[in-house]
Amino acid sequence: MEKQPTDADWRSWLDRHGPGFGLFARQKVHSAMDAQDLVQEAILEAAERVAPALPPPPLVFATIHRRAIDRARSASRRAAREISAATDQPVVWFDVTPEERERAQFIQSALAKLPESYREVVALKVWGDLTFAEISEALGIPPNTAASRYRYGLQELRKLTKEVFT
Amino acid sequence: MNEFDPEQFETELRTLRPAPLPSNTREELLRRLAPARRQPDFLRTPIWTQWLKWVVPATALAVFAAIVITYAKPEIKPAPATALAAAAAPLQADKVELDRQLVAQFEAVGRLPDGRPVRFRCAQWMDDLLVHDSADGLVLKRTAPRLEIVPLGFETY
Repeated sequence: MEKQPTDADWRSWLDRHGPGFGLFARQKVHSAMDAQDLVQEAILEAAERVAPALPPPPLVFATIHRRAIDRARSASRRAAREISAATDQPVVWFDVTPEERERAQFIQSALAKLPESYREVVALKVWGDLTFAEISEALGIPPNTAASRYRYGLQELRKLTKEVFT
Repeated sequence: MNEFDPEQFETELRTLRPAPLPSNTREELLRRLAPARRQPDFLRTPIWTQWLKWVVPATALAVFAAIVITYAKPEIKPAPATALAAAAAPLQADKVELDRQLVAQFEAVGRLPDGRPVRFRCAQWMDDLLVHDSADGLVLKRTAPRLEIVPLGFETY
């Protein structure tokens, strides 16, 4: 029988993967609160599915993706999200020093301008450390599509961030 | 960076670390994960789930079989004349052996009408009765299965 993770195991797992989950969730919903809810629900669901093991990150990303689609379909959720987005404070997606803040916000705003289909693949590959095979499973798209979306997304992001990447 | 190098660009992007989850979200998540971790192992594992799926119908079948065996009346066949003569004389058992064997033991979980779970320990026994009558040179053997179900208690998980 698989060893049960301790509280310390969960904390270390969250420290390692939580930021990537949070950033990916931010690409899927419009408010920080919704993103946090989404991450919580996805981790709990994934943990239940693979108990007592720690959930593999691709499963959590896939669950975030699926639950975000469910949320988008729900009219009541959408209304709540719009209210929340209207009152939401500007949130920094990256953990940066004061010197890096301007650059990070520039990249964050460029990332936000990308089409969602590109943005989610870029987030999963760069900050989620997933392979194209894992991205294809998480998003339910063919691996070649994931790779081409990544390539186009990266090119587009590069165009939008020429000023900071010289 | 005149010419676009995707790998270099990716490396530069990776230097930005995503913001950690807010501490309140993190703590709430750990708190919500805790009840799942306190559950008994046998309830949480997929193996148990699979076993439970199998054991519930098996238990019902075993109970049904035990009832049928216990209450079914033996078929009466016309006995041959020699056997009737032997039966006429009373049996003088000079040695009686009782034995029982544990065939299987398992636990099952059922639910009360209000949804509360209740756990049972089920044991399947095979009882043997051996009667020797040395005077008439008779040995009678009877084997009967028996199912023992003991409720262990209510559990909350």
